[in-house]
Amino acid sequence: MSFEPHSKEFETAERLQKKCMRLERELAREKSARREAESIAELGLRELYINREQLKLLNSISSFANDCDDPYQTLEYATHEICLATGWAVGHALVRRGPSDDERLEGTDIWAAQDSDVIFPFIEASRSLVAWPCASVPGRLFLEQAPIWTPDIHAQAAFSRSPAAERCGLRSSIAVPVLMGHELVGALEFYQTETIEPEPEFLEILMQIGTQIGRVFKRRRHADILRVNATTDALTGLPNRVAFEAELQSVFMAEHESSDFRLSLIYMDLDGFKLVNDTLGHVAGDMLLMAMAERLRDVVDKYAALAWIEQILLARIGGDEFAIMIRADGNEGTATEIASALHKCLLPSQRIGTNDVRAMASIGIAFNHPVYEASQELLRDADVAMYQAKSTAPGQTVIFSDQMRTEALVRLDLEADLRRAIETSAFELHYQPIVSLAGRTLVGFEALVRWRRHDNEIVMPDVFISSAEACGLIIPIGTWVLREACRAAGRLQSVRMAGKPIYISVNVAIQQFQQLHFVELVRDILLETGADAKWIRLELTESSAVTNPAYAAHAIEQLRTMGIQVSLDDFGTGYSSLAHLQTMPFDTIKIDRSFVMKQTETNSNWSIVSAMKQLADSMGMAVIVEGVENEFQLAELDNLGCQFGQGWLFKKPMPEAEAVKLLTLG
Amino acid sequence: MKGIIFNVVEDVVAIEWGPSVWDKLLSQAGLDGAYTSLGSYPDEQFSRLISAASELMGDSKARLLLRIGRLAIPKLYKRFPKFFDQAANLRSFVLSINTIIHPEVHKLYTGAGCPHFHFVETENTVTLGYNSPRKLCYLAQGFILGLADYYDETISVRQPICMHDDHPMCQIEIAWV
Repeated sequence: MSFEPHSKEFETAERLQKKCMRLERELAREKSARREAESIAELGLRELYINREQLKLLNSISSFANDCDDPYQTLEYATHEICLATGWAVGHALVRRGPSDDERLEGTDIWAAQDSDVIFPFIEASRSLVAWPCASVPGRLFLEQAPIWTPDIHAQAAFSRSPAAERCGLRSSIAVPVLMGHELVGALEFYQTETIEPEPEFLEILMQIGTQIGRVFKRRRHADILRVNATTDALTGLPNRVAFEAELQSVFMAEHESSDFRLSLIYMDLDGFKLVNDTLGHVAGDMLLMAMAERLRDVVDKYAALAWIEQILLARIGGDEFAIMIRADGNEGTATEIASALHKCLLPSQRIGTNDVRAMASIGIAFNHPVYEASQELLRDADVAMYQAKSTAPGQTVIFSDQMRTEALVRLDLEADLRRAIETSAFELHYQPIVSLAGRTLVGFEALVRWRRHDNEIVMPDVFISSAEACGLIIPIGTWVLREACRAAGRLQSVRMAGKPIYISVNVAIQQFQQLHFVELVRDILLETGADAKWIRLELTESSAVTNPAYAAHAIEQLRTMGIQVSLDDFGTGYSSLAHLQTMPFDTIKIDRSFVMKQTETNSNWSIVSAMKQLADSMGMAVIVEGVENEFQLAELDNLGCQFGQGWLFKKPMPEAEAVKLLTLG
Repeated sequence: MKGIIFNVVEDVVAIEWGPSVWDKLLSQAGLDGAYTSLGSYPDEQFSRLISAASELMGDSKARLLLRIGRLAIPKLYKRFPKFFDQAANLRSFVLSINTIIHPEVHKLYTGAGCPHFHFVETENTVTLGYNSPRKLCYLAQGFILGLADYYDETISVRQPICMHDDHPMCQIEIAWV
């Protein structure tokens, strides 16, 4: 029995079956390889898609942030775009409104929602939210400064909006910080109705979005600082002149439109300030200003709270100048009352370092009136009144009057005339002899300026010098005087009889002395006029010496090195800071006429003059006494040992021609 | 239509009716049947397959789609478990179709034309408003039944109105019993 054929068939069937099975396995492998390849591709494509979408979102928000100056608009745009891209149910922006040390996020009206009807209760609960640094979002952002994913918002401790969130079906949240450097300036919060954890890459994108928005906040802050700096005085924090004038102008305009004049203006200048600056230094001066500004602010704040005061604004409008604008019923009474309160608040002394310093104020007040055409005029008149107050005594208040306006106009005319006088050299010098008391011999002259006005009237210096000082014309006038005195000194030497050379003493105003290169100017004039330094003496006042004493001492020393002698003029009438005087290398002290004039044979007291003489002796300085009018005074002064004098007893000031005659005659 | 749908239907057919049936369907429909999940294929190919299946099985297209949809769910779960994990029950799964499932589908399959559903909820019903030129409401019903199986929930599904009856849209009502 042979099974050959069968076994062959069987083998073929078996082979085919095996082949089929092999092919099926191959097919299954192929299929599974395809599935795997597909799923790798799916994952890759998914990632690519997500990245592209997220970058699109980041780009869109970044480019909006770059073009936008308003952080709130940027927050709104970002909230909307993120909700749109993610499908998150609601987005809401929070900001930090207070100062940087006030750690508190506040809800805003900036939100976006897929379905605002459904989300409304939650939005309502969010817009008035205040979030402190705490354990629940968004307060946690203060500490973590990175996006926070909260899978179950209701499980958080102290999530105050839980009931509202519950009603809206919200489950999870993503909070994103808006950072400016390391400072949290705002936040975006998003809520989902589901619980889908955002991928770490997307949280990173949200972080970058927060940073982009933070840059807009930064730009805004810089702009705000610039604006505040432009309108605020850096030292005192008060509005500055620019801000004050702008506000004054707007109130002024409003009053003139409504013809309802209730505006008054207080202009105030600290009397002792310059002295503090000069003697204790600028740091002390600044401290004093800050302290005084604080006191003024307290007074103004107190009045601001009163019902009848509609508006009150304090500003620092210059170095030591403050202004207060008041709009109130019964403005005249109110302004003077406030002025008194201001004087009073400055009374207590202020501790600055180791010194007790006292500042007093001069106050000028002007009231708005139909006659004014611009707010600047009101400010000018308050300033005029303030100067009037200052010229009386420290701590005074003066209300601007029509008479002052007239005087101010006269002063303006005078200024204009003075300018013309400088151009046309309408000044001339008169000379008052200075004599040696012992032998009544002429030793020199004091040069005194006179102004010959257009009508040939001679104007004395007391009429125009203070105006010239106020408007700065004293410098060209002073230079002219010095140059003319040097020329005259040459002429006078040539006619004098034999003996010691006579000198001309020239008054130097403080502004003149303090101008840059004063010493060089003197040297140049000597060279130019050919005058010998011995022929010239300069008279400085005490204020020249005590204002910036280091400079004064150095300049005086330089003048003396050149051979010019320097006198201290008007001694005893000013602040007389003996401490400073001691260090000043003066040659001569001039005792003011006021100490001599009242001395008569029946009623005399020479103790002050005697003290001054002793003081001069102790410092090795000679004394010139001014205002010697009679023989009695001369004898007494001679007895006291005073070396020199000038006065009507000897000669009145005279034109150069007479001085020449005096010298020629001997 | 995305290749993934053809792949899922192929799996269902192969398991339910045997691997050779899929090949027969393709021959009958005159299709070469090379579908990759990432590719996009004309909707009309899907219709031809369902028509071929209807002829071959002697069953209505509606019943076939219902069955395919229901049986597709375990296959889909195998491929995309995350979609199922994010929802705790049928209701939340259905309600997340627009917000989670379809956005995710877009991430995987760029250009996928996913339908948008409208929802009306009551305490024990959810009604889906469906409006798509593909008119695959029965497939959707099948998916819902498959999801009920997955979540082990007892429901009834009905369609008060249907695009196949010349309505502008379909309403698919799920009721929990």
